[in-house]
Amino acid sequence: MNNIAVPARLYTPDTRLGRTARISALRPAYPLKAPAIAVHQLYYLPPGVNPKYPRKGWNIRTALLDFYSRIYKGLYEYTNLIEKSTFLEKLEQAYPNSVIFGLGTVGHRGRFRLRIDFYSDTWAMTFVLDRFDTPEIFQIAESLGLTSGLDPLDPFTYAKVWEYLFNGVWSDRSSPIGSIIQASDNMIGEKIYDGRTVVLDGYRGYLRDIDTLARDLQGASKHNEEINALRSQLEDDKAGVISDTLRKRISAFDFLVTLKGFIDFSASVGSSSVSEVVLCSMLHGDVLFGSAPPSADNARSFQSNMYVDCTRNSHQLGRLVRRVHVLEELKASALIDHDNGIDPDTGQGFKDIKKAERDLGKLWNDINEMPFDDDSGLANAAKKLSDISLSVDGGLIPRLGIWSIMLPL
Amino acid sequence: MEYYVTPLKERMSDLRIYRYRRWQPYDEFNRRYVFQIFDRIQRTQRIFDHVRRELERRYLMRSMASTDSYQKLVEENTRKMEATTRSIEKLQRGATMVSCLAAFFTGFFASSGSLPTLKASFINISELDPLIEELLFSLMSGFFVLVIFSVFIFLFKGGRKTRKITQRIPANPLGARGLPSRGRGGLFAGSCRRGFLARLLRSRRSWVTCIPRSAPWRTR
Repeated sequence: MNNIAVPARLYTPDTRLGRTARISALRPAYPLKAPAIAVHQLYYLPPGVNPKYPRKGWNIRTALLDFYSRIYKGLYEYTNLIEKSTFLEKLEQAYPNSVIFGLGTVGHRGRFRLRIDFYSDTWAMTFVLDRFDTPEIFQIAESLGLTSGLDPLDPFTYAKVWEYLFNGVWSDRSSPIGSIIQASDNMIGEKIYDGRTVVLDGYRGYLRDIDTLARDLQGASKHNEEINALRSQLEDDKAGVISDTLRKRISAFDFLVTLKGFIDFSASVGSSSVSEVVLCSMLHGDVLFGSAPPSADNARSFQSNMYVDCTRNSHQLGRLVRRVHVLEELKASALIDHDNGIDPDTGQGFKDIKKAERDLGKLWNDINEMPFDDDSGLANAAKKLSDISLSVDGGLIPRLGIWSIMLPL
Repeated sequence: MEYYVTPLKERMSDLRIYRYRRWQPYDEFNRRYVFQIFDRIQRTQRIFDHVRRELERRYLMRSMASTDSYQKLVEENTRKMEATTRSIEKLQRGATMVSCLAAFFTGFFASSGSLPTLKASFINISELDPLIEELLFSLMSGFFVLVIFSVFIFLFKGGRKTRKITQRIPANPLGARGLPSRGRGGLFAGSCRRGFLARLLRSRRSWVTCIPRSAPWRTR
């Protein structure tokens, strides 16, 4: 019943590792130049595989080096862009902070970078692909791996490109991003957050067309009829007089539809099939954010897709993306902390907490009805409180984060 | 969990989020779906905290009450001891008077028996009546014995020593600085200055040599 290990930070709240985790959000952001694609993944390390978790005969340096080697092995299977010695050396120097590697160029001089962050209970891996030569989405799609011939005059080209940029690239094994995502399945720890980000600059006009997007998101069938009619009109237009205008409109509609697909999640992600779309302005950039709301019974492993459109400089853009990633990291860590000790099949841990809450309410009534000079009643109440605390898997006191207990429990 | 939730809540406000018409912003999304889960745990935490504080308060009150009753008991015992000491003193004073009278009459009657011998040896008061002569001599002898006895009584201070020790017991047992502690007691315990013999000698010496006890060289 009580075999669930409490995370290391609960035992070491004032250690170096604890402080490191606390200042995690102070780590500097990486500059990001639009257009860019980023994958951010957070892995929870159970005490059994956590190199920072103290154990018998434990040497943190050896444990971390072993951990780094395993990460490298997992990555090397899919990308051999970095040498092992460089990898280990940089990571060892970086401890306990984060480190960023340049993984070379991709396609049309796209810059490929890997960032690794260490926390006390989790570690994060971020891949950023940015600084393409051109903001033309055709060339970006080609450099990412869309090899089919792209004709700008083809009315379905925009649909293909947007579809690939927002949906296809994540599962395309030939693209570096797709290979990294597949490599992440074999990484150490349990993947608790998978964030996919597309950063573009110059498409804010589409996003600002809020009503159109809302209408598209509400009724896709009506939109499909309209866009097919436009496409047939474009094909019939031999003279090409109105083709530019039509192409622009089709591109806009395709963009919005693929964006809807980007933020609309399948039922396999998380425990809930309901996805929520968020559109707001953050740090003077437009952010379209989609995530399946985590449920209380099983909050493990959620995914969020984010589209950022920001016309600011690369540092501001990088900071915006990084801050949202940090917030999602904190959210995932809090959820995994909440979720630890809960049986995913039966939801037993959560039921235990609910039962403990009821028992605490009863105990509160008992104490209030007890006379002040009832010593035996007081001892019984303390015993009951101890029993309630032990009835929750992992202990109610560590779960609630209470440490200043004066009572003889 | 608060370890993560608190910075999450704080840093969300740093993003300078502005709402677009008819759309929910990022912070509202988190408030609606994620913080609800955390609030459940925090509610349990608040209830646990209330119960714990109430129990602690009651424990504290009980311990205060027991300490108070113990203090009252000690005060009562001290009062009883003081009353007993006073009655002992009265008895000792009475006993001193009785012993003084006994000493006087011992000298009186002892000298009356030995008067002819003394008169024959070195005292010549034949001008007086022999009865008055004998009476005067006996009185002088009685006073002489009484004076010697009084000197001894002064030396050993009668019942005052007992009262002095009794008065050292304070009303508060927790700050019992006046009680003879184990570390200072014992015949040869501690340094020579702290031993029982040293204290005894010191008290005698102060009386014999008339040195004030508060002399600086005595306190090192």
